Amino acid sequence: MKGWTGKILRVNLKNNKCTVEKLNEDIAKKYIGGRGIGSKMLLDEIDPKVDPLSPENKMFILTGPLTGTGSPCGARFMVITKSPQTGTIACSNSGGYWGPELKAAGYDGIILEGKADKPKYLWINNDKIELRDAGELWGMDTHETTRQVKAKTDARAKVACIGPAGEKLVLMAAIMNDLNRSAARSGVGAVMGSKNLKAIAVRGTKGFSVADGFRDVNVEISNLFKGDVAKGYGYFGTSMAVDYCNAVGIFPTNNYREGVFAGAPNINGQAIRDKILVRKRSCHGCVLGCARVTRVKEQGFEGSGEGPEYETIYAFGSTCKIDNINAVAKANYICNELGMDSISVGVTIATAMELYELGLIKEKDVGMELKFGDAKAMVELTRKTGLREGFGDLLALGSYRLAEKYGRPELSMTSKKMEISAYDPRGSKGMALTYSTNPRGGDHTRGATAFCEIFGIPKKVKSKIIEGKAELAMELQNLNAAIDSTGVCMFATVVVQHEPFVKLLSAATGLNFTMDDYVKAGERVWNVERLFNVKAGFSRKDDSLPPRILREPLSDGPAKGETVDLETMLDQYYKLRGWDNNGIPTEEKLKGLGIK
Amino acid sequence: MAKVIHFRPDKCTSCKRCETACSHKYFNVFTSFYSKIKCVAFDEEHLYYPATCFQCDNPPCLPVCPTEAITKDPETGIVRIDEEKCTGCGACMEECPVKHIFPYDEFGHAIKCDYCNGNPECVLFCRDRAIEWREITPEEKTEREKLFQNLGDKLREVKEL
Repeated sequence: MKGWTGKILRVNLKNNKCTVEKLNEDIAKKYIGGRGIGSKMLLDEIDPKVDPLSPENKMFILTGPLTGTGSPCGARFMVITKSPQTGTIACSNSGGYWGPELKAAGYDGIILEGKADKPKYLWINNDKIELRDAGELWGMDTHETTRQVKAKTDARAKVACIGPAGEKLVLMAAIMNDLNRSAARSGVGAVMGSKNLKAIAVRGTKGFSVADGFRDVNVEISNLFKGDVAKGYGYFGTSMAVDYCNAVGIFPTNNYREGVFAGAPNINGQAIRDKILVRKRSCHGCVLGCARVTRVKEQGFEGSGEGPEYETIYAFGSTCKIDNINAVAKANYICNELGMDSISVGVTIATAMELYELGLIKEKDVGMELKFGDAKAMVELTRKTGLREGFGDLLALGSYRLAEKYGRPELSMTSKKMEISAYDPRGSKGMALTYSTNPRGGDHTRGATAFCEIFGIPKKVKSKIIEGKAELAMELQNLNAAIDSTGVCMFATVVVQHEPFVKLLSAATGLNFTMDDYVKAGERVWNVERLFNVKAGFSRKDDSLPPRILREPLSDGPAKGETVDLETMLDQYYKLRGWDNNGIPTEEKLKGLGIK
Repeated sequence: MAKVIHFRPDKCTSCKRCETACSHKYFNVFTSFYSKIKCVAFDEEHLYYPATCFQCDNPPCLPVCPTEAITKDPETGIVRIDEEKCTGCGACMEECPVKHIFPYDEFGHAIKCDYCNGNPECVLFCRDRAIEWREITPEEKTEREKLFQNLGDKLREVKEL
């Protein structure tokens, strides 16, 4: 096989057994790689009703055929498992250099099974695979773990690991790789922690090959990355979205009660440049360089690392009503070091702030005051969450379980118990479908309609109407599922859309993928993910949004007065998808996609 | 003055496209191991050094080669290793202060950058213009020597890149 290495490493943590399996060529063609192959394996190999933190859950870490090829933005790998946060499929994407290294070692992916009897780390040195004792590493943050593992293996090894949050089963725990890159959402770090696996170090010197002719296609497509959007990613990173979203009134503020944040100019892309930016950084093969290497000097918030991204700015900034970029960056560093998803942690703290405002959470519960806008409290609680210290032990369960404990689950800004992202669906209606039908719960990275509705990329559509949004959501979801399966970063498609990557996919694999095959693969992946969730007990009732978004009109700004008619949108969407009225894929649909 | 691959570390974003370009061109596979350009990152200090062999004026690797396999082209300045003569003893690798001579097979045979004989593939793939193929000014040459020194200092304890 070309593009793919054709091999998957299966590691049984319980009995210390490693085997190398052939990647099924049919599966590879139908599901491409990464998210696609991982989801298919999850559906085939685990009982969807399994307890996510039990040894019976498995973890699939998959690269795509374009990962590590020097294809524009071809750095990605995907972690797929069952989520302890949502109970649905968990699926988290990361860049950096770890995925390409895994392929250079000769593997498209790793399957982790069972649970180690005590803390271990996995050392993949080409064909030599070892499960080693990680007793000394347990308790260390992700940066120290990375340093130590490199010292114990090879200074050139790439390391993916969990921090204390993953060890302590924080439901929002991430897997961090190459220090500050993260497979963050849906609690994949907790699953790794539940398996007693602290880190996976990889050194790959064998390399892998692609089909002839790939190089010229790559040169041609690399040259397409020009223009304002590409430049914006390099100049501002994702934080360029702050001003856009704030201007149209969908920048979630005050735990999603407002859509305009007066403090936005203090936490936008320019603020990052002016106050904390050291330089920009790229993942492997990237032609955009959106990562922000930053340093904070303000006393109390000192630190250095990467971020914040747009979503993190919302989570620790606007929705907590904090306009101090130093504090936002500090909370981001803590998330990276303790190994947590910054979106979920920030939104959970905002929920706690509202419960505090209502007098439901008391100062003595938290051990400090917890008013909106209190940057110090926010940063301190981020740390406590990662370590499950004091009130952090409760925050570690995420926003939904926190609000539920105080009898007000509706104050949690979640869908399927996952914290939703920074595009308010009231002013960007398609996002209602993006969040509510996303297989991994409330999240924007599975076909965000806001790119069209707010940024006009690749086409401008009206943001406050629901007409056409089911079609738009479905189209973007399928495309996104496909790009997530290739090993390429979705940001690349924001700049040049998808056709160039269909070409690159064909060039790398030597197979003739058409745009049709690509979209069909995306649709197949989406339905496989849905099917897993259906078998886990999810249906229409779970495709929900916070009542605030459905019933409380925005009080101010350009999206003032707006709510969302989700039920009508779901009716249209299910019909288009070929699912029944309860959101279950029909036999006919599954058969047509070759899933059954 | 002959053209060189001019290194601009401040422009580098550590994307490694130079590395994939090199290993793909010469070995038809992707791995930084086979790349003759290595972008060396010092993460703690947020420093990235995209560098190949500097093709030194007085290459320290040259005199230590017991088989006289290493030569410097007086016209282009390119330092080459004769594959036939190389015995894989590793003396040149040890001598290079910036560790930019690499073992590539089980016999320890050495490879290094030869500027692709005047058409460097890595430069074509660099999007940040952190490496450029051009003549450099005397000031830039001084900078280049400083960079060599600096990188050599940082890599003193490192055995292999």
